Amino acid sequence: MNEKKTDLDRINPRVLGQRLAEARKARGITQEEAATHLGCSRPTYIAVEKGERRATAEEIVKLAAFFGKRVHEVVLQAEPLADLQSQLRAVAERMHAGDDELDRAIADLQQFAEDYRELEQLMNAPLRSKLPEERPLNNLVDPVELAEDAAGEERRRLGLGDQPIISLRSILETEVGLRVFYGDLPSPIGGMYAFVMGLGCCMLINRKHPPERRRVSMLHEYGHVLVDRHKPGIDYLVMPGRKPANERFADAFAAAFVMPATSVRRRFLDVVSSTNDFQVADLCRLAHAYFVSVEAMAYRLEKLGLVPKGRADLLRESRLPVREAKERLRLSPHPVNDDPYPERYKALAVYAYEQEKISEGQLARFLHCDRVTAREIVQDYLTSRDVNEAGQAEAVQFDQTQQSLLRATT
Amino acid sequence: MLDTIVDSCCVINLYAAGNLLTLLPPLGLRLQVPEKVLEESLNVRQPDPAAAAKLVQRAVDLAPAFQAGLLHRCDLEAEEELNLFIQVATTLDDGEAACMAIAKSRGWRLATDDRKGRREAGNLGVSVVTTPELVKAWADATEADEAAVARLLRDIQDYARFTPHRTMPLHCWWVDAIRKGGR
Repeated sequence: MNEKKTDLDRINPRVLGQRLAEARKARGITQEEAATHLGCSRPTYIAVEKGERRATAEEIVKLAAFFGKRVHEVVLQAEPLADLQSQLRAVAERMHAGDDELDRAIADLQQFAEDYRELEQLMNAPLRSKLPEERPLNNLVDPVELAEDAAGEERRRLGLGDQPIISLRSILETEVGLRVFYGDLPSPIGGMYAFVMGLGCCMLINRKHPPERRRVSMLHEYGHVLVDRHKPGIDYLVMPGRKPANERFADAFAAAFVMPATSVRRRFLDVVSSTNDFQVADLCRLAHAYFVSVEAMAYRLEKLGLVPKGRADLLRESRLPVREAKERLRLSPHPVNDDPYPERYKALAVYAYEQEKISEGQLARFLHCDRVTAREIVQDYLTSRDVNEAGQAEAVQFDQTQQSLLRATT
Repeated sequence: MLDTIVDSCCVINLYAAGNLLTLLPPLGLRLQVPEKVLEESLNVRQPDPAAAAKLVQRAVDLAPAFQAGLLHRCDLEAEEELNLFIQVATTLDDGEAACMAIAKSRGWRLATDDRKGRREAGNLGVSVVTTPELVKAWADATEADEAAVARLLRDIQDYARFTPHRTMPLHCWWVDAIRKGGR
Protein backbone atom coordinates (compact mmCIF):
# COMPACT_ATOMS: atom_id res chain seq x y z
CA MET A 1 0.00 0.00 0.00
CA ASN A 2 1.56 3.32 -1.00
CA GLU A 3 1.79 6.43 1.14
CA LYS A 4 -1.03 8.18 -0.70
CA LYS A 5 -3.46 5.34 0.04
CA THR A 6 -2.73 5.29 3.75
CA ASP A 7 -3.70 8.93 4.07
CA LEU A 8 -6.90 9.29 6.15
CA ASP A 9 -7.83 12.30 4.02
CA ARG A 10 -8.61 9.88 1.22
CA ILE A 11 -11.88 8.98 2.97
CA ASN A 12 -14.70 10.99 1.43
CA PRO A 13 -16.21 12.99 4.34
CA ARG A 14 -19.58 13.34 2.60
CA VAL A 15 -19.94 9.57 2.13
CA LEU A 16 -18.71 8.97 5.68
CA GLY A 17 -21.24 11.52 6.98
CA GLN A 18 -24.09 9.83 5.11
CA ARG A 19 -23.13 6.43 6.47
CA LEU A 20 -22.88 7.77 10.01
CA ALA A 21 -26.29 9.43 9.66
CA GLU A 22 -27.90 6.20 8.39
CA ALA A 23 -26.28 4.17 11.17
CA ARG A 24 -27.41 6.67 13.80
CA LYS A 25 -31.02 6.73 12.55
CA ALA A 26 -31.15 2.93 12.32
CA ARG A 27 -30.20 2.84 16.00
CA GLY A 28 -32.77 5.49 16.93
CA ILE A 29 -30.10 7.86 18.27
CA THR A 30 -30.51 11.63 18.02
CA GLN A 31 -27.83 14.00 16.77
CA GLU A 32 -27.79 15.54 20.23
CA GLU A 33 -26.99 12.16 21.82
CA ALA A 34 -24.28 11.46 19.24
CA ALA A 35 -22.73 14.86 19.91
CA THR A 36 -22.81 14.25 23.67
CA HIS A 37 -21.15 10.87 23.16
CA LEU A 38 -18.37 12.53 21.18
CA GLY A 39 -18.11 15.40 23.67
CA CYS A 40 -18.75 18.07 21.05
CA SER A 41 -21.58 20.48 20.25
CA ARG A 42 -24.57 19.43 18.15
CA PRO A 43 -23.63 21.81 15.28
CA THR A 44 -20.14 20.31 15.24
CA TYR A 45 -21.58 16.82 15.01
CA ILE A 46 -24.06 17.87 12.32
CA ALA A 47 -21.13 19.23 10.30
CA VAL A 48 -19.59 15.72 10.40
CA GLU A 49 -22.80 14.15 9.07
CA LYS A 50 -23.00 16.78 6.36
CA GLY A 51 -19.39 16.12 5.38
CA GLU A 52 -18.43 19.71 6.17
CA ARG A 53 -16.10 18.72 8.99
CA ARG A 54 -13.65 15.83 8.70
CA ALA A 55 -14.03 13.36 11.59
CA THR A 56 -10.85 12.19 13.30
CA ALA A 57 -9.97 8.51 13.43
CA GLU A 58 -10.82 8.41 17.14
CA GLU A 59 -14.23 9.99 16.49
CA ILE A 60 -15.00 7.47 13.74
CA VAL A 61 -14.12 4.57 16.05
CA LYS A 62 -16.25 6.01 18.87
CA LEU A 63 -19.26 6.70 16.64
CA ALA A 64 -19.16 3.28 14.95
CA ALA A 65 -19.20 1.58 18.37
CA PHE A 66 -21.99 3.88 19.61
CA PHE A 67 -24.13 3.07 16.55
CA GLY A 68 -23.44 -0.68 16.84
CA LYS A 69 -21.54 -0.80 13.56
CA ARG A 70 -18.14 -2.09 12.58
CA VAL A 71 -15.72 0.63 11.56
CA HIS A 72 -15.36 -1.21 8.23
CA GLU A 73 -19.07 -0.63 7.57
CA VAL A 74 -18.96 3.12 8.14
CA VAL A 75 -15.79 3.84 6.18
CA LEU A 76 -16.80 1.97 3.02
CA GLN A 77 -16.07 4.21 0.07
CA ALA A 78 -19.14 3.44 -2.06
CA GLU A 79 -22.04 5.88 -1.95
CA PRO A 80 -24.73 4.59 0.44
CA LEU A 81 -28.13 3.77 -0.98
CA ALA A 82 -29.85 6.91 0.18
CA ASP A 83 -33.35 6.15 -1.07
CA LEU A 84 -34.14 2.76 0.44
CA GLN A 85 -34.07 3.20 4.20
CA SER A 86 -35.55 6.69 4.19
CA GLN A 87 -38.42 5.71 1.89
CA LEU A 88 -39.40 2.66 3.89
CA ARG A 89 -39.17 4.58 7.15
CA ALA A 90 -41.49 7.19 5.71
CA VAL A 91 -43.95 4.43 4.77
CA ALA A 92 -43.73 2.98 8.28
CA GLU A 93 -44.44 6.40 9.77
CA ARG A 94 -47.43 6.95 7.47
CA MET A 95 -48.81 3.55 8.48
CA HIS A 96 -48.11 4.28 12.16
CA ALA A 97 -46.12 1.06 12.11
CA GLY A 98 -43.26 2.38 14.21
CA ASP A 99 -41.67 -0.59 15.85
CA ASP A 100 -38.10 -1.49 16.83
CA GLU A 101 -38.24 -4.79 15.00
CA LEU A 102 -39.51 -3.09 11.85
CA ASP A 103 -36.79 -0.43 12.11
CA ARG A 104 -34.16 -3.13 12.38
CA ALA A 105 -35.64 -4.99 9.41
CA ILE A 106 -35.53 -1.82 7.29
CA ALA A 107 -31.89 -1.33 8.29
CA ASP A 108 -31.21 -4.99 7.44
CA LEU A 109 -32.71 -4.59 3.98
CA GLN A 110 -30.58 -1.49 3.43
CA GLN A 111 -27.49 -3.43 4.49
CA PHE A 112 -28.33 -6.42 2.31
CA ALA A 113 -28.91 -4.18 -0.70
CA GLU A 114 -25.63 -2.34 -0.17
CA ASP A 115 -23.72 -5.58 0.35
CA TYR A 116 -25.22 -7.05 -2.79
CA ARG A 117 -24.22 -3.99 -4.77
CA GLU A 118 -20.69 -4.16 -3.33
CA LEU A 119 -20.35 -7.82 -4.30
CA GLU A 120 -21.61 -7.15 -7.80
CA GLN A 121 -19.16 -4.29 -8.19
CA LEU A 122 -16.27 -6.38 -6.85
CA MET A 123 -17.08 -9.22 -9.21
CA ASN A 124 -18.14 -6.95 -12.07
CA ALA A 125 -21.38 -8.94 -12.27
CA PRO A 126 -24.48 -6.74 -12.31
CA LEU A 127 -27.81 -8.55 -12.14
CA ARG A 128 -29.54 -8.55 -15.49
CA SER A 129 -32.95 -7.04 -14.93
CA LYS A 130 -35.80 -8.48 -16.96
CA LEU A 131 -38.58 -6.51 -15.36
CA PRO A 132 -41.87 -6.34 -17.20
CA GLU A 133 -43.30 -3.01 -18.23
CA GLU A 134 -45.36 -1.31 -15.56
CA ARG A 135 -49.09 -1.74 -16.09
CA PRO A 136 -50.96 0.83 -14.02
CA LEU A 137 -54.36 -0.18 -12.71
CA ASN A 138 -57.47 0.97 -14.52
CA ASN A 139 -60.42 1.95 -12.32
CA LEU A 140 -62.80 0.44 -14.86
CA VAL A 141 -61.34 -3.05 -14.60
CA ASP A 142 -61.53 -5.30 -11.54
CA PRO A 143 -57.93 -5.56 -10.26
CA VAL A 144 -58.49 -9.24 -9.43
CA GLU A 145 -59.38 -10.04 -13.05
CA LEU A 146 -56.47 -7.92 -14.24
CA ALA A 147 -54.14 -9.84 -11.92
CA GLU A 148 -55.30 -13.19 -13.31
CA ASP A 149 -54.45 -11.99 -16.79
CA ALA A 150 -51.13 -10.44 -15.70
CA ALA A 151 -50.00 -13.63 -13.96
CA GLY A 152 -50.61 -15.71 -17.08
CA GLU A 153 -48.85 -13.14 -19.21
CA GLU A 154 -45.84 -13.06 -16.88
CA ARG A 155 -45.54 -16.83 -16.88
CA ARG A 156 -45.68 -16.82 -20.69
CA ARG A 157 -43.12 -13.99 -20.93
CA LEU A 158 -40.74 -15.92 -18.71
CA GLY A 159 -41.37 -19.25 -20.46
CA LEU A 160 -42.56 -20.88 -17.25
CA GLY A 161 -45.60 -22.70 -18.60
CA ASP A 162 -48.40 -23.40 -16.15
CA GLN A 163 -46.85 -26.10 -13.96
CA PRO A 164 -45.94 -25.68 -10.26
CA ILE A 165 -42.72 -23.80 -9.51
CA ILE A 166 -40.78 -25.06 -6.52
CA SER A 167 -37.60 -22.93 -6.78
CA LEU A 168 -39.61 -19.74 -6.92
CA ARG A 169 -37.11 -17.51 -5.13
CA SER A 170 -34.25 -18.23 -7.50
CA ILE A 171 -36.52 -17.93 -10.55
CA LEU A 172 -37.72 -14.52 -9.41
CA GLU A 173 -34.12 -13.43 -9.15
CA THR A 174 -32.56 -14.98 -12.24
CA GLU A 175 -35.53 -14.65 -14.58
CA VAL A 176 -37.13 -11.42 -13.38
CA GLY A 177 -34.30 -9.59 -11.61
CA LEU A 178 -35.93 -9.28 -8.18
CA ARG A 179 -33.69 -9.36 -5.12
CA VAL A 180 -35.38 -11.42 -2.44
CA PHE A 181 -33.98 -11.33 1.12
CA TYR A 182 -35.36 -12.96 4.24
CA GLY A 183 -35.41 -11.20 7.59
CA ASP A 184 -37.26 -10.91 10.86
CA LEU A 185 -40.29 -8.66 10.54
CA PRO A 186 -43.13 -8.19 13.01
CA SER A 187 -45.40 -11.23 12.58
CA PRO A 188 -48.37 -9.39 11.02
CA ILE A 189 -46.15 -8.20 8.15
CA GLY A 190 -45.56 -10.49 5.17
CA GLY A 191 -42.87 -8.45 3.50
CA MET A 192 -41.70 -5.06 2.33
CA TYR A 193 -40.46 -3.73 -0.91
CA ALA A 194 -38.58 -0.80 -2.41
CA PHE A 195 -37.26 0.09 -5.83
CA VAL A 196 -33.71 1.34 -5.58
CA MET A 197 -31.92 3.30 -8.29
CA GLY A 198 -29.06 1.26 -9.66
CA LEU A 199 -30.20 -1.95 -7.98
CA GLY A 200 -33.83 -2.40 -8.95
CA CYS A 201 -36.40 -4.20 -6.82
CA CYS A 202 -35.33 -5.23 -3.34
CA MET A 203 -37.67 -7.03 -1.00
CA LEU A 204 -37.46 -8.42 2.49
CA ILE A 205 -39.76 -11.35 3.23
CA ASN A 206 -40.69 -12.34 6.77
CA ARG A 207 -38.47 -15.27 7.73
CA LYS A 208 -40.77 -16.16 10.62
CA HIS A 209 -43.52 -17.27 8.26
CA PRO A 210 -43.72 -20.81 6.84
CA PRO A 211 -42.18 -21.36 3.38
CA GLU A 212 -45.60 -21.54 1.70
CA ARG A 213 -46.52 -18.12 3.09
CA ARG A 214 -43.14 -16.65 2.14
CA ARG A 215 -43.69 -17.72 -1.46
CA VAL A 216 -47.00 -15.93 -1.58
CA SER A 217 -45.47 -12.84 0.05
CA MET A 218 -42.69 -12.59 -2.51
CA LEU A 219 -45.21 -12.93 -5.33
CA HIS A 220 -47.34 -10.27 -3.67
CA GLU A 221 -44.37 -7.92 -3.87
CA TYR A 222 -43.82 -9.00 -7.48
CA GLY A 223 -47.40 -7.89 -8.09
CA HIS A 224 -46.47 -4.45 -6.79
CA VAL A 225 -43.54 -4.40 -9.21
CA LEU A 226 -46.10 -4.70 -12.01
CA VAL A 227 -48.50 -1.98 -10.96
CA ASP A 228 -46.73 0.47 -8.64
CA ARG A 229 -43.05 -0.39 -8.55
CA HIS A 230 -41.83 3.04 -7.57
CA LYS A 231 -44.04 3.14 -4.52
CA PRO A 232 -42.25 1.45 -1.60
CA GLY A 233 -44.51 -0.58 0.63
CA ILE A 234 -44.85 -2.57 3.82
CA ASP A 235 -47.41 -5.32 3.43
CA TYR A 236 -49.53 -6.62 6.27
CA LEU A 237 -51.15 -10.04 5.95
CA VAL A 238 -54.48 -8.60 7.04
CA MET A 239 -55.66 -5.02 6.67
CA PRO A 240 -58.63 -3.44 8.37
CA GLY A 241 -61.49 -2.75 5.98
CA ARG A 242 -61.42 -3.26 2.23
CA LYS A 243 -57.94 -3.42 0.75
CA PRO A 244 -57.04 -0.80 -1.86
CA ALA A 245 -57.00 -1.86 -5.51
CA ASN A 246 -53.21 -2.25 -5.74
CA GLU A 247 -53.21 -4.61 -2.74
CA ARG A 248 -56.09 -6.64 -4.15
CA PHE A 249 -54.18 -6.86 -7.41
CA ALA A 250 -51.00 -8.02 -5.64
CA ASP A 251 -52.91 -10.65 -3.62
CA ALA A 252 -54.68 -12.00 -6.69
CA PHE A 253 -51.52 -11.90 -8.79
CA ALA A 254 -49.69 -14.00 -6.20
CA ALA A 255 -52.44 -16.63 -6.12
CA ALA A 256 -52.78 -16.78 -9.89
CA PHE A 257 -49.03 -16.94 -10.48
CA VAL A 258 -48.31 -19.69 -7.97
CA MET A 259 -51.50 -21.65 -8.79
CA PRO A 260 -52.15 -21.12 -12.52
CA ALA A 261 -55.81 -21.60 -13.38
CA THR A 262 -55.19 -23.95 -16.32
CA SER A 263 -53.04 -26.53 -14.58
CA VAL A 264 -54.92 -26.39 -11.26
CA ARG A 265 -58.19 -26.94 -13.09
CA ARG A 266 -56.70 -29.80 -15.12
CA ARG A 267 -55.30 -31.57 -12.05
CA PHE A 268 -58.56 -31.06 -10.15
CA LEU A 269 -60.63 -32.53 -13.00
CA ASP A 270 -58.23 -35.47 -13.32
CA VAL A 271 -58.89 -36.38 -9.69
CA VAL A 272 -62.64 -35.94 -10.00
CA SER A 273 -62.86 -37.96 -13.18
CA SER A 274 -60.84 -40.84 -11.75
CA THR A 275 -62.35 -40.97 -8.23
CA ASN A 276 -65.67 -39.26 -8.75
CA ASP A 277 -64.88 -37.11 -5.73
CA PHE A 278 -62.44 -34.52 -4.41
CA GLN A 279 -61.59 -35.05 -0.79
CA VAL A 280 -59.57 -33.17 1.77
CA ALA A 281 -56.68 -35.57 1.11
CA ASP A 282 -56.78 -34.59 -2.57
CA LEU A 283 -56.73 -30.94 -1.55
CA CYS A 284 -53.65 -31.60 0.59
CA ARG A 285 -51.91 -33.34 -2.31
CA LEU A 286 -52.78 -30.54 -4.71
CA ALA A 287 -51.56 -27.86 -2.26
CA HIS A 288 -48.35 -29.82 -1.78
CA ALA A 289 -47.81 -30.11 -5.53
CA TYR A 290 -47.93 -26.32 -5.86
CA PHE A 291 -46.05 -25.74 -2.59
CA VAL A 292 -48.83 -23.57 -1.15
CA SER A 293 -50.85 -23.85 2.03
CA VAL A 294 -53.96 -26.04 2.06
CA GLU A 295 -56.00 -22.95 2.88
CA ALA A 296 -54.59 -21.01 -0.09
CA MET A 297 -55.38 -23.88 -2.43
CA ALA A 298 -58.91 -24.18 -1.03
CA TYR A 299 -59.56 -20.48 -1.72
CA ARG A 300 -58.07 -20.86 -5.17
CA LEU A 301 -60.40 -23.74 -6.00
CA GLU A 302 -63.31 -21.63 -4.81
CA LYS A 303 -62.17 -18.68 -6.91
CA LEU A 304 -61.96 -20.95 -9.95
CA GLY A 305 -65.47 -22.22 -9.25
CA LEU A 306 -64.28 -25.79 -8.73
CA VAL A 307 -65.62 -26.21 -5.18
CA PRO A 308 -68.70 -24.52 -3.72
CA LYS A 309 -68.25 -21.13 -2.04
CA GLY A 310 -67.70 -21.33 1.68
CA ARG A 311 -65.76 -24.61 1.68
CA ALA A 312 -62.46 -22.87 2.33
CA ASP A 313 -63.89 -21.01 5.33
CA LEU A 314 -65.35 -24.25 6.68
CA LEU A 315 -62.00 -25.93 6.32
CA ARG A 316 -60.26 -23.08 8.10
CA GLU A 317 -62.74 -23.20 10.96
CA SER A 318 -62.27 -26.96 11.27
CA ARG A 319 -58.54 -26.37 11.97
CA LEU A 320 -57.35 -29.28 9.87
CA PRO A 321 -54.04 -30.61 11.30
CA VAL A 322 -52.15 -30.04 8.07
CA ARG A 323 -48.77 -31.36 9.17
CA GLU A 324 -50.23 -34.64 10.40
CA ALA A 325 -52.31 -34.96 7.26
CA LYS A 326 -49.22 -34.50 5.07
CA GLU A 327 -47.34 -37.11 7.07
CA ARG A 328 -50.20 -39.57 6.74
CA LEU A 329 -50.29 -38.93 3.01
CA ARG A 330 -46.48 -39.38 2.86
CA LEU A 331 -45.94 -36.00 1.25
CA SER A 332 -42.23 -35.38 1.63
CA PRO A 333 -41.24 -31.79 2.37
CA HIS A 334 -39.97 -29.60 -0.45
CA PRO A 335 -36.38 -28.36 -0.29
CA VAL A 336 -36.34 -24.98 1.41
CA ASN A 337 -33.65 -22.32 1.18
CA ASP A 338 -33.79 -20.39 4.45
CA ASP A 339 -30.70 -18.30 3.73
CA PRO A 340 -31.33 -14.63 4.40
CA TYR A 341 -29.73 -13.78 1.04
CA PRO A 342 -30.33 -15.13 -2.47
CA GLU A 343 -28.27 -18.01 -3.88
CA ARG A 344 -26.56 -15.68 -6.34
CA TYR A 345 -25.49 -13.36 -3.53
CA LYS A 346 -23.88 -16.32 -1.77
CA ALA A 347 -22.13 -17.38 -4.98
CA LEU A 348 -20.72 -13.89 -5.50
CA ALA A 349 -19.43 -13.79 -1.92
CA VAL A 350 -17.78 -17.21 -2.23
CA TYR A 351 -16.10 -16.35 -5.52
CA ALA A 352 -15.02 -12.91 -4.28
CA TYR A 353 -13.33 -14.68 -1.37
CA GLU A 354 -11.79 -17.34 -3.58
CA GLN A 355 -10.39 -14.62 -5.83
CA GLU A 356 -8.97 -12.74 -2.81
CA LYS A 357 -11.21 -9.75 -3.41
CA ILE A 358 -12.54 -9.98 0.11
CA SER A 359 -10.99 -11.22 3.33
CA GLU A 360 -12.36 -13.94 5.58
CA GLY A 361 -13.75 -11.33 7.97
CA GLN A 362 -15.55 -9.60 5.11
CA LEU A 363 -16.84 -12.97 3.87
CA ALA A 364 -18.32 -13.72 7.30
CA ARG A 365 -19.92 -10.27 7.34
CA PHE A 366 -21.44 -10.73 3.87
CA LEU A 367 -22.76 -14.17 4.83
CA HIS A 368 -24.01 -13.01 8.26
CA CYS A 369 -22.28 -15.80 10.13
CA ASP A 370 -19.15 -16.61 12.10
CA ARG A 371 -15.90 -17.42 10.33
CA VAL A 372 -15.99 -21.20 10.67
CA THR A 373 -19.53 -21.30 9.29
CA ALA A 374 -18.33 -19.09 6.43
CA ARG A 375 -15.53 -21.59 5.76
CA GLU A 376 -18.10 -24.40 5.70
CA ILE A 377 -20.22 -22.47 3.24
CA VAL A 378 -17.22 -21.99 0.94
CA GLN A 379 -16.28 -25.67 1.19
CA ASP A 380 -19.84 -26.80 0.55
CA TYR A 381 -20.20 -24.43 -2.35
CA LEU A 382 -17.01 -25.59 -3.99
CA THR A 383 -17.66 -29.30 -3.45
CA SER A 384 -19.71 -31.42 -5.77
CA ARG A 385 -20.96 -34.99 -5.43
CA ASP A 386 -19.82 -37.15 -8.31
CA VAL A 387 -19.45 -40.82 -9.14
CA ASN A 388 -15.98 -42.32 -9.58
CA GLU A 389 -14.95 -44.99 -12.07
CA ALA A 390 -15.93 -47.71 -9.60
CA GLY A 391 -19.42 -46.26 -9.50
CA GLN A 392 -19.06 -45.02 -5.92
CA ALA A 393 -20.21 -41.58 -4.82
CA GLU A 394 -17.38 -39.23 -3.87
CA ALA A 395 -16.92 -35.57 -3.05
CA VAL A 396 -15.09 -33.56 -5.67
CA GLN A 397 -13.46 -30.36 -4.46
CA PHE A 398 -13.22 -27.59 -7.01
CA ASP A 399 -9.83 -26.55 -5.77
CA GLN A 400 -8.99 -24.61 -8.89
CA THR A 401 -12.05 -22.50 -9.43
CA GLN A 402 -10.06 -19.79 -11.11
CA GLN A 403 -8.85 -22.17 -13.80
CA SER A 404 -10.35 -21.01 -17.07
CA LEU A 405 -12.21 -23.39 -19.33
CA LEU A 406 -11.89 -20.89 -22.16
CA ARG A 407 -8.27 -19.76 -22.09
CA ALA A 408 -5.36 -22.00 -23.05
CA THR A 409 -3.68 -23.71 -20.08
CA THR A 410 -0.06 -22.89 -19.41
CA MET B 1 11.13 -12.62 22.03
CA LEU B 2 9.50 -11.81 18.70
CA ASP B 3 6.12 -10.07 19.02
CA THR B 4 3.53 -11.59 16.71
CA ILE B 5 -0.01 -10.25 16.46
CA VAL B 6 -2.58 -12.95 15.75
CA ASP B 7 -5.68 -12.27 13.68
CA SER B 8 -9.03 -14.02 14.04
CA CYS B 9 -8.55 -16.74 11.47
CA CYS B 10 -5.24 -17.77 13.00
CA VAL B 11 -6.69 -17.63 16.55
CA ILE B 12 -9.47 -20.00 15.46
CA ASN B 13 -7.05 -22.40 13.78
CA LEU B 14 -4.66 -22.56 16.72
CA TYR B 15 -7.53 -22.99 19.17
CA ALA B 16 -8.99 -25.84 17.11
CA ALA B 17 -5.61 -27.58 17.21
CA GLY B 18 -6.28 -28.71 20.76
CA ASN B 19 -4.55 -27.32 23.78
CA LEU B 20 -3.12 -23.80 23.48
CA LEU B 21 -1.29 -24.32 26.78
CA THR B 22 0.90 -27.01 25.20
CA LEU B 23 0.94 -25.72 21.64
CA LEU B 24 2.12 -22.16 22.25
CA PRO B 25 5.14 -22.40 24.64
CA PRO B 26 7.45 -24.26 22.20
CA LEU B 27 6.91 -21.54 19.59
CA GLY B 28 8.95 -19.07 21.63
CA LEU B 29 6.82 -16.14 20.51
CA ARG B 30 5.15 -13.29 22.33
CA LEU B 31 1.65 -13.61 20.88
CA GLN B 32 -0.56 -10.52 20.93
CA VAL B 33 -4.31 -10.42 20.35
CA PRO B 34 -5.96 -7.04 19.72
CA GLU B 35 -9.24 -6.02 21.32
CA LYS B 36 -10.92 -5.81 17.91
CA VAL B 37 -10.27 -9.53 17.42
CA LEU B 38 -11.59 -10.33 20.89
CA GLU B 39 -14.76 -8.38 20.09
CA GLU B 40 -15.54 -10.83 17.28
CA SER B 41 -17.71 -13.87 17.88
CA LEU B 42 -15.13 -16.65 17.46
CA ASN B 43 -16.25 -20.27 17.33
CA VAL B 44 -14.92 -23.68 16.44
CA ARG B 45 -16.60 -27.05 16.10
CA GLN B 46 -16.35 -29.90 18.57
CA PRO B 47 -17.90 -33.36 18.76
CA ASP B 48 -21.34 -33.31 20.29
CA PRO B 49 -21.01 -34.88 23.76
CA ALA B 50 -24.34 -36.63 23.12
CA ALA B 51 -23.44 -37.93 19.64
CA ALA B 52 -19.73 -37.94 18.80
CA ALA B 53 -20.28 -38.17 15.04
CA LYS B 54 -22.10 -34.86 15.11
CA LEU B 55 -20.22 -31.58 15.43
CA VAL B 56 -21.55 -28.68 17.46
CA GLN B 57 -20.44 -25.09 17.88
CA ARG B 58 -18.12 -24.12 20.71
CA ALA B 59 -17.05 -20.59 21.61
CA VAL B 60 -13.33 -19.90 21.56
CA ASP B 61 -12.20 -19.36 25.16
CA LEU B 62 -8.81 -17.70 25.33
CA ALA B 63 -8.97 -16.90 29.05
CA PRO B 64 -6.68 -19.77 30.16
CA ALA B 65 -4.05 -18.79 27.59
CA PHE B 66 -4.19 -15.14 28.74
CA GLN B 67 -3.97 -16.21 32.38
CA ALA B 68 -0.98 -18.42 31.60
CA GLY B 69 0.76 -15.47 29.97
CA LEU B 70 0.84 -17.22 26.59
CA LEU B 71 -1.33 -14.57 24.94
CA HIS B 72 -1.27 -10.83 25.56
CA ARG B 73 -3.95 -8.24 24.94
CA CYS B 74 -3.14 -5.18 22.89
CA ASP B 75 -5.12 -2.29 21.46
CA LEU B 76 -4.87 0.53 18.98
CA GLU B 77 -3.11 3.35 20.76
CA ALA B 78 -1.29 6.14 18.99
CA GLU B 79 -3.01 8.48 16.55
CA GLU B 80 -0.84 7.04 13.81
CA GLU B 81 -2.21 3.56 14.54
CA LEU B 82 -5.80 4.77 14.59
CA ASN B 83 -5.36 6.61 11.29
CA LEU B 84 -3.83 3.56 9.66
CA PHE B 85 -6.55 1.36 11.16
CA ILE B 86 -9.27 3.53 9.63
CA GLN B 87 -7.57 3.51 6.27
CA VAL B 88 -7.05 -0.27 6.25
CA ALA B 89 -10.63 -0.78 7.50
CA THR B 90 -11.87 0.53 4.13
CA THR B 91 -10.67 -2.74 2.59
CA LEU B 92 -10.53 -5.23 5.48
CA ASP B 93 -12.73 -6.13 8.43
CA ASP B 94 -12.08 -4.45 11.79
CA GLY B 95 -10.07 -7.23 13.45
CA GLU B 96 -7.93 -7.71 10.39
CA ALA B 97 -7.38 -3.96 10.01
CA ALA B 98 -6.44 -3.55 13.67
CA CYS B 99 -3.87 -6.35 13.42
CA MET B 100 -2.42 -4.79 10.30
CA ALA B 101 -2.24 -1.27 11.74
CA ILE B 102 -0.63 -2.38 15.01
CA ALA B 103 1.84 -4.71 13.25
CA LYS B 104 2.87 -1.96 10.85
CA SER B 105 3.18 0.70 13.51
CA ARG B 106 5.06 -1.40 16.08
CA GLY B 107 7.15 -3.49 13.69
CA TRP B 108 5.49 -6.73 14.80
CA ARG B 109 4.90 -9.80 12.72
CA LEU B 110 1.34 -10.70 11.69
CA ALA B 111 -0.02 -14.23 12.05
CA THR B 112 -2.78 -14.69 9.49
CA ASP B 113 -4.02 -17.28 7.03
CA ASP B 114 -6.20 -14.87 5.12
CA ARG B 115 -5.01 -14.56 1.54
CA LYS B 116 -6.25 -11.02 1.01
CA GLY B 117 -4.82 -10.08 4.41
CA ARG B 118 -1.45 -11.51 3.47
CA ARG B 119 -1.44 -9.50 0.24
CA GLU B 120 -2.35 -6.28 2.06
CA ALA B 121 0.37 -6.99 4.63
CA GLY B 122 2.87 -7.38 1.82
CA ASN B 123 1.80 -4.00 0.43
CA LEU B 124 2.39 -2.44 3.85
CA GLY B 125 5.71 -4.18 4.36
CA VAL B 126 4.42 -6.24 7.31
CA SER B 127 5.96 -9.70 7.61
CA VAL B 128 3.51 -12.58 7.89
CA VAL B 129 3.48 -16.04 9.42
CA THR B 130 0.74 -18.61 8.84
CA THR B 131 -0.86 -21.44 10.83
CA PRO B 132 0.99 -24.16 8.85
CA GLU B 133 4.29 -22.41 9.63
CA LEU B 134 3.44 -22.12 13.33
CA VAL B 135 2.35 -25.76 13.53
CA LYS B 136 5.49 -26.90 11.73
CA ALA B 137 7.57 -24.81 14.14
CA TRP B 138 5.80 -26.58 17.03
CA ALA B 139 6.37 -29.99 15.41
CA ASP B 140 10.06 -29.24 14.85
CA ALA B 141 10.58 -27.81 18.33
CA THR B 142 8.88 -30.71 20.12
CA GLU B 143 10.04 -33.39 17.69
CA ALA B 144 6.45 -34.59 17.64
CA ASP B 145 5.91 -37.92 15.88
CA GLU B 146 4.06 -38.11 12.58
CA ALA B 147 0.87 -39.39 14.15
CA ALA B 148 0.69 -36.51 16.63
CA VAL B 149 1.29 -33.93 13.91
CA ALA B 150 -1.33 -35.49 11.67
CA ARG B 151 -3.82 -35.58 14.54
CA LEU B 152 -3.28 -31.91 15.25
CA LEU B 153 -3.65 -30.95 11.58
CA ARG B 154 -6.80 -33.02 11.25
CA ASP B 155 -8.25 -31.32 14.31
CA ILE B 156 -7.67 -27.97 12.62
CA GLN B 157 -9.31 -29.24 9.44
CA ASP B 158 -12.27 -30.79 11.25
CA TYR B 159 -12.94 -28.23 13.97
CA ALA B 160 -11.82 -25.00 12.29
CA ARG B 161 -12.67 -26.12 8.75
CA PHE B 162 -9.29 -24.86 7.65
CA THR B 163 -7.01 -26.36 5.03
CA PRO B 164 -4.20 -24.20 3.68
CA HIS B 165 -4.85 -22.96 0.17
CA ARG B 166 -2.58 -24.47 -2.45
CA THR B 167 -0.85 -21.08 -2.84
CA MET B 168 0.01 -20.87 0.87
CA PRO B 169 3.41 -21.69 2.34
CA LEU B 170 3.73 -25.32 3.48
CA HIS B 171 0.58 -26.47 1.70
CA CYS B 172 2.41 -29.58 0.47
CA TRP B 173 3.94 -30.21 3.91
CA TRP B 174 0.45 -30.09 5.44
CA VAL B 175 -1.03 -32.56 2.94
CA ASP B 176 1.95 -34.90 3.26
CA ALA B 177 1.95 -34.74 7.06
CA ILE B 178 -1.68 -35.80 7.22
CA ARG B 179 -1.09 -38.59 4.71
CA LYS B 180 2.01 -39.86 6.53
CA GLY B 181 0.40 -39.68 9.94
CA GLY B 182 -2.47 -41.94 8.90
CA ARG B 183 -5.68 -42.24 10.91
